[in-house]
Amino acid sequence: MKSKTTLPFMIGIPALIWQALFFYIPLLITFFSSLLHFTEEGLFLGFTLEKMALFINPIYEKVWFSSFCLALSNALICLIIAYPLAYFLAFTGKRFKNILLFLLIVPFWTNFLLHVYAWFFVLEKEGFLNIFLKSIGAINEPIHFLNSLFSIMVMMVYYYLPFMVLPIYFALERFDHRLIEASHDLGARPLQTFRRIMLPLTLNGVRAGFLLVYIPSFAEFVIPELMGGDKQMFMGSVVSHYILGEKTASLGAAFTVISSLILLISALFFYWLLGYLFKPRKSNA
Amino acid sequence: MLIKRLFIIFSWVALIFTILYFPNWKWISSREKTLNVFTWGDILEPSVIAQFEKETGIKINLSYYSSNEELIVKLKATEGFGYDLIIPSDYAVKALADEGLLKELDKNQLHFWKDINPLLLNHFFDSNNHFSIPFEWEVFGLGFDKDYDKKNPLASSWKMIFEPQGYNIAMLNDPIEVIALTAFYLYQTVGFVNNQQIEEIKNLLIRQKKWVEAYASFRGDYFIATKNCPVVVSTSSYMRRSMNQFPFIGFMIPKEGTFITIENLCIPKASSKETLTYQFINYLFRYESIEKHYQTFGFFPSLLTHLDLIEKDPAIRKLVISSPEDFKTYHFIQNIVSPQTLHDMWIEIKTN
Amino acid sequence: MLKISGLLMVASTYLFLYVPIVVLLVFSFNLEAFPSPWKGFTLKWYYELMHAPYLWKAFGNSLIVASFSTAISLTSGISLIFYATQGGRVGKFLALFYANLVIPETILAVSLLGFFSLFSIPLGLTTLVLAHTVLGLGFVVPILYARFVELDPKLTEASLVLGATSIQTFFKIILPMLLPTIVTTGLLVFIISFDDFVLSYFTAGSSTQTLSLYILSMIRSGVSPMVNALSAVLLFLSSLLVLIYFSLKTRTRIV
Repeated sequence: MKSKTTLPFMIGIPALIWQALFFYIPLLITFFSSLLHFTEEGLFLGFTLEKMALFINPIYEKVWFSSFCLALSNALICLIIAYPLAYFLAFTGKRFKNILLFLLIVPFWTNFLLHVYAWFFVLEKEGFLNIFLKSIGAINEPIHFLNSLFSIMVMMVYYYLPFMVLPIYFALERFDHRLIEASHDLGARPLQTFRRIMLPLTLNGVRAGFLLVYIPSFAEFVIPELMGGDKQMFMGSVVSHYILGEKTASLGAAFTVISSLILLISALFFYWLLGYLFKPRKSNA
Repeated sequence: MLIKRLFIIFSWVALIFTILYFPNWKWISSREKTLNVFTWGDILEPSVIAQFEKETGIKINLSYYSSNEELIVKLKATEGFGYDLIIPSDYAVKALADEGLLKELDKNQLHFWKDINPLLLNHFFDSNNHFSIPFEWEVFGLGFDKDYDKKNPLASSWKMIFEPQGYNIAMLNDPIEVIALTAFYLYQTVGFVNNQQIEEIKNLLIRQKKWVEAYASFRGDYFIATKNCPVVVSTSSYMRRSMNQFPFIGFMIPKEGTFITIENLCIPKASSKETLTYQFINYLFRYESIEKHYQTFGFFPSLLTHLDLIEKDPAIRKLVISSPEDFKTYHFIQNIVSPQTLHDMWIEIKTN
Repeated sequence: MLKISGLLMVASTYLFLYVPIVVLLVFSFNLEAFPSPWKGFTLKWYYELMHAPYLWKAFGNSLIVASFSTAISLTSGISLIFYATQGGRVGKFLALFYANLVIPETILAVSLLGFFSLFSIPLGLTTLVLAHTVLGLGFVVPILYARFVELDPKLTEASLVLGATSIQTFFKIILPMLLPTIVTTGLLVFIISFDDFVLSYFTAGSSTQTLSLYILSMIRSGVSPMVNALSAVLLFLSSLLVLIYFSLKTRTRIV
């Protein structure tokens, strides 16, 4: 039953206007500026694929490949660490659970640059880790951790772990623990239970976590710069260079468009792959 | 019904855009005793500005740019209107002067003019200094660990970073600077390079990566202090600042020569507040202001008076004074490849 | 057996999360700057922190941007949800807000920069608030809408049947039920905006600094124990916010 006084259009619509104007239109502008051809003075000449073609080049293919590997390995490592952690969180006692969740979220809610900075103290030549390893006699000479792929990966996992833990945790919360017991009673080994029961039923959480890590990791450029000595270029670094550079903004747009395509296709592929591998199967009874 | 909705949408959009353009409106009302200064983030010290405001009652509005390109684009867009003082680097002065955006200076108003270091005057970008006052300058060079140098003396040469020496270095992270420096090292040239030279520059830089700890224009002192790199490529200003914190850091200019940057004070043509601006400029060239700026930022001053009071280290003082022979080896950075080539080179170097 | 290895795993993960933080905090009290080892206890870095010139301006900017973007995204998001769920075709458009998660922030930031350049919009606090509101809406609309549909429709129906107008129903029935979620989502958006880096990096312009950008410039130019002290302060503030968040979360089923 509809009442006479309803919320007017004028009040309800701004959010939608905002989204259209400042999310979709900018993306469209990026898309079109990569395709349009202008002269020096700004006269419109027509459509061109030239700008995009500039990037079909082994140099840039390497960049995309690096970003792809970075994002994929980050997501996989996070998944391996996150699932047991989420499982533990979901099935422990209430008081302990809240404390652990609190401890998980506090770093998550602190400025991430400070965490990058914190890892300098740990991984430096005379930092915490080296001093610790030396004191227990494991090494004689300090190990060179920083400004390497290792330090990049450490920071990536460190930062993105909560993104993977939380969706899986929420999925596990709705999971009926008795199913595990039942499976165990019926003679299944833990690994079978995990593969056949738990994973399929928490699939949505796993997928969500995977994409929440994979997608932003692909475009990450700050962590490689600060933790990797900026010795490697990833998709985000290239975008940053072109967009902030002189007169190369539309080239940056072209690169962004191609990168987005690669990202989208690979993300969809992984979404499908996870489903294919772990979808709940109907029994052949 | 639809028309009504479209009108509402349009009104909201208009409102939002009005608010977005609001910062521009601030410029329209310019009060009498204020100066709008457009500058770099790390050139003017807040206490110096505050002191000026207190003494003269003139309010300074600071806004910042992070590159000369930004300054040029902004000034072209507003045709010089809105700013009373700007601080462009060498080549930017020429770019702005060519567009007719700068006002000619009245040297009679500048009380310090006779004391300006003559080596900083009459360069390519403003041959009689019609439009620009050299304010501060810096050079690129090698920051190094003095303790390491005592044990393994370093040569005063760019070879220290371009040939493997058994240690790691920190390299600059700006593609224009890096490529210009490499071209200078290989061919002693600062002009355009051909395709073969581009390949050689690229290959050298890729080879160099083996002993590059990190590309970081501004963390040299950190790498020296943590004993990661005994030698880093940096600017004189940054290294001078670091020396305050780490006395074991030294700085040297390789004998082959180096690149120099001169920051200049200029007045945009559309400014109508010259009297106030000249007051401010004279204030900036007072001993106290120069000393404060030098202590905080490390840029070499363009006035040579009182230098022995400002800089106690004789080696550095020598650098600041410099001789005409030294200055012959200081060059200005120019674009030596096209922007696209620059990006391609840089990315190729980084992905190998 | 499995339990012990599980516990070990969880313990080492938390160790991994907290060792850097603890080290950071410890060194905020060190007499000398890194890389010196522990030399003695001092509070001077905290003192320096209190007197850092541009830091508090940046902090203030971050606060302003976060507050405004949270307020705008919450009010406009709630209004939209309410309007859309009254019926009509607008409801289908709510799906548009789910795209925010799929687009990396870098791409959004870069596109916004292009948008601003095209329309010659000056970069500064206004563009920052704008950008962060887009970010916020991507959370507010999906989360609150999900919560909204979970609400028992019978209460709304009852209210309408009993003669209350749609608006009265909204303010007296629906809003109070949504309130915990609104507050927790608001907190989430606030923190995300306050800590945000990528969006600010591209849309702030040279004249405005947020706290993240300030910290970046400090990290890029070396190491100062002042950053350690700042980390300690911000960690403390975050912990407070998370505590508030948790005390409210127990009253609601959704994040």
